[in-house]
Amino acid sequence: MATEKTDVVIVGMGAAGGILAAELGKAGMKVIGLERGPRLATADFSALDELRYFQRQDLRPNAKRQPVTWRPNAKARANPLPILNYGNQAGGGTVHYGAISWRFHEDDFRSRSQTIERYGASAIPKDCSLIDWPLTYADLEPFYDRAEYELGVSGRAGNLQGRKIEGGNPFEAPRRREYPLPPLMADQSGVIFAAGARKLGYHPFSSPRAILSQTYQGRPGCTYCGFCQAFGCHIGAKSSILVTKLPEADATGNFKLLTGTMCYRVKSDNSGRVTGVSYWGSDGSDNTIEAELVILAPFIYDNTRLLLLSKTAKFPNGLANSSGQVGKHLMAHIGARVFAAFDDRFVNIYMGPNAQKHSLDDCNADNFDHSGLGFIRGAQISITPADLEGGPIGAAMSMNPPPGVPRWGAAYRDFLSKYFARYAAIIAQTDNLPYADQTIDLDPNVRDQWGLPAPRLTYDWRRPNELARVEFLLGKLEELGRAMGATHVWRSPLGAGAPGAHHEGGTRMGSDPKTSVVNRYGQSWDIPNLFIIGSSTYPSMSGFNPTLTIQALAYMSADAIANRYKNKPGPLA
Amino acid sequence: MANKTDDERVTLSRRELLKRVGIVGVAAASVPAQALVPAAAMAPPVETSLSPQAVALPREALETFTAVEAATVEAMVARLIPTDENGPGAREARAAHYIDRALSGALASSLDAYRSGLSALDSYARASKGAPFAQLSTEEQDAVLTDMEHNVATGFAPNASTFFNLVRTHTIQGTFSDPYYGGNANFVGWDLIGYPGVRLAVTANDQRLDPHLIPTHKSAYDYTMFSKTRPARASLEGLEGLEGREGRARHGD
Ligand SMILES: Cc1cc2nc3c(=O)[nH]c(=O)nc-3n(C[C@H](O)[C@H](O)[C@H](O)COP(=O)(O)OP(=O)(O)OC[C@H]3O[C@@H](n4cnc5c(N)ncnc54)[C@H](O)[C@@H]3O)c2cc1C
Repeated sequence: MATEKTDVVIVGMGAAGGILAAELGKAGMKVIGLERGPRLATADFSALDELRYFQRQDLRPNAKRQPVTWRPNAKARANPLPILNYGNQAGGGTVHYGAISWRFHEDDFRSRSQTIERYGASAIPKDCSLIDWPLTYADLEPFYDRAEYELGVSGRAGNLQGRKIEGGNPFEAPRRREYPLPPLMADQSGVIFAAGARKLGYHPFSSPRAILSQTYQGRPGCTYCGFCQAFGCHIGAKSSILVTKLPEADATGNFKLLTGTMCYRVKSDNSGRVTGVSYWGSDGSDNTIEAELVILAPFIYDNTRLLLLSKTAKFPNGLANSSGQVGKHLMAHIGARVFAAFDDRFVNIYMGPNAQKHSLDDCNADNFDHSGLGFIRGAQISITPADLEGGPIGAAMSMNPPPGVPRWGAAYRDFLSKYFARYAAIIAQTDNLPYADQTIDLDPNVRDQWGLPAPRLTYDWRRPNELARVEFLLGKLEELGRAMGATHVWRSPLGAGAPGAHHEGGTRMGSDPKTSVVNRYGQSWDIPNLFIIGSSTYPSMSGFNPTLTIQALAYMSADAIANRYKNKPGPLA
Repeated sequence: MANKTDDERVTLSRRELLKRVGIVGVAAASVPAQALVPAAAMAPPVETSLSPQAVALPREALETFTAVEAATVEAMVARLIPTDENGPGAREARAAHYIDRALSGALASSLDAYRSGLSALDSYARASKGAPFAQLSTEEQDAVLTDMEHNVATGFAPNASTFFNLVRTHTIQGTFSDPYYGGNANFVGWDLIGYPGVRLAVTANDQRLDPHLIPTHKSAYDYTMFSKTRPARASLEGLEGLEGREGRARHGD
């Protein structure tokens, strides 16, 4: 039973929390970081063990003890999701993420306006809750730049201040300067993907990633071991928050990290301010931190859950929820996928990290004309192994054999033995739209190991716009497989409605306090000393992975807190 | 791309594999690797004279299963990833040993499912084919497994396909995981599919098209930097503070 006082308490030390801790510490604010998991070190990661980290999810939240439940609609009963895609330790998801690090497109921040301007308001599905972001790409560009340089991102510019650069992504928004590090070397799948894509008139390129292609800031370059996504990097070449911002936060002398601590409530008083947080220590003790500023960065589930759990007489619908928007507009990527197998060549997709693989952006965002297609927004397309990394168990578990080949028996064994080194998957990661009835709330039936109600997702991606988009993309992926020269091209079955990777929404930002939870800085409209940071604030998503944008937003919020809020606490927008 | 050498390489390495596990015969050496896809063109499975009992493999001491259960699991994994003149399978990889060991450790939460599933499997085999699963012919075993996969086999809780998929998953793990866990014996699973094994670094040369990589035949834990005996904090599992909070009073309503 301890009570501590501090300037700032940050809940969750992941992609967002770690940046805020370092930046606010540097600004001279006393920061306490709460993290439910431990703080591991590079030497703790025994990479190369697919079973342990990939199948048994050693670094991820335990799906049984820390359940997040899902149901396709409000009439169904929710069941725990089998795999959880976020962090569970200091450094959060960045310890075991794939480290693909995209900047969103200019039109990702204004897809509502973009759609209306180009196709008319009727192109947006009637039940869709799409709004523009309350900021533009240009507003965020300086912070993307800082994130890339401070963390260490490898890639090639496609658009330097408006000048298109050969070999980069021609659809990227203008950037002020090159990436700090050159791209990782091209692997075999990248070579054949690029050749096939060019035949179809596309513009393939090496995906940008927060993995060092050479020594940077005292950390070594990647050795391409291929045990990356779902694994911790055993040499520290992945630019995780654990090896970048947490040491920086330590060095400020203003930062204290409390590991094994589970925040269960944000405390508030009758004046309408938050006063701190309550948490359980690893010994089961019940503790309090009193803080001038509370920052929530525990990923989207606990952003919503903590706000709902912290209701009081003054805030009967939960904190920061006068709009009634908390928990709404949940979004997730869906991976439409085909397999391509080659009788006449090896691909060896298991070599090198997944993030090393190539992508194309021609079918993403509004980079192509959607007229008459029956859907808006697109998908990022990449070449990839059957699962997050290319190990043999993942390939066997996640690659459905082509039609006619069984899932077991001699023919299955022969299929695996012939094609394991000769296949690639091609995946389209879709920019699914927000809908108000896609929600996060508290599960009345399932509790976690702490006795808290599990976050419950109500979500089904199979809406007309999304189904039409997936069908269109699967056709494109099949064309790509054939253009690459594959002997066999076949589809992977689509999931049964559950959210895929990268969950967004629940505390969306906006320009109007009536229809959004926070402003562009992640500051609650209702409670100015409460900030909520992470992809929960996204009003719309993108076909791109979310984390670099989470990190750029964290830099932007830290900058506003250190340079404006600290001197004059109050609403920033 | 010339594919001849590739195919030769694959065929050769399969024969080599079969030799290593001691099951290559005169007939096997003359049977070419079966063409696989498209399935329409696929020949019916080549019947083999090799019965599952033909090759005596060393058997490890049981850690979880009873002898009867072990025999059933052995028979099941041997049909899921079978052994024939085209290559070794889950039996040589010792997938059943992997499962037996894991059910007393990381997969302990599946033990009840195995106990009831294996007993249901034998009951169904007896009722539909007249003998326990392990004593059926391979054709009968395949018919029973097909019934399970399609969820028409009865007597399983919650149902037959759930148990089928559980064992399939664990058979794949036991055939292709790091040998540290008791399966993939002698790297037979990795060699079977042409996976050259784990390595700390992959060079640009390795990543060129059509490399002929020499298998490392190393477990991750053969690299001294990855000792499994390092402190438990290297793993999130079993960390204090994650356990023992069930039934805590509600907070924060
Ligand atoms: C296998 C995998 C691969 C991925 N690959 C990519 C990729 O290539 N590119 C990309 O952009 N994104 C990727 N992601 C997603 C990425 O990891 C997340 O977008 C990112 O980590 C989210 O940042 P965050 O700060 O919001 O949450 P996190 O990084 O998850 O951090 C939240 C932290 O809060 C802690 N926490 C939660 N609740 C509480 C509580 N109540 N009290 C105390 N602590 C709490 C958690 O333990 C966690 O450490 C991947 C994710 C996974 C799982």
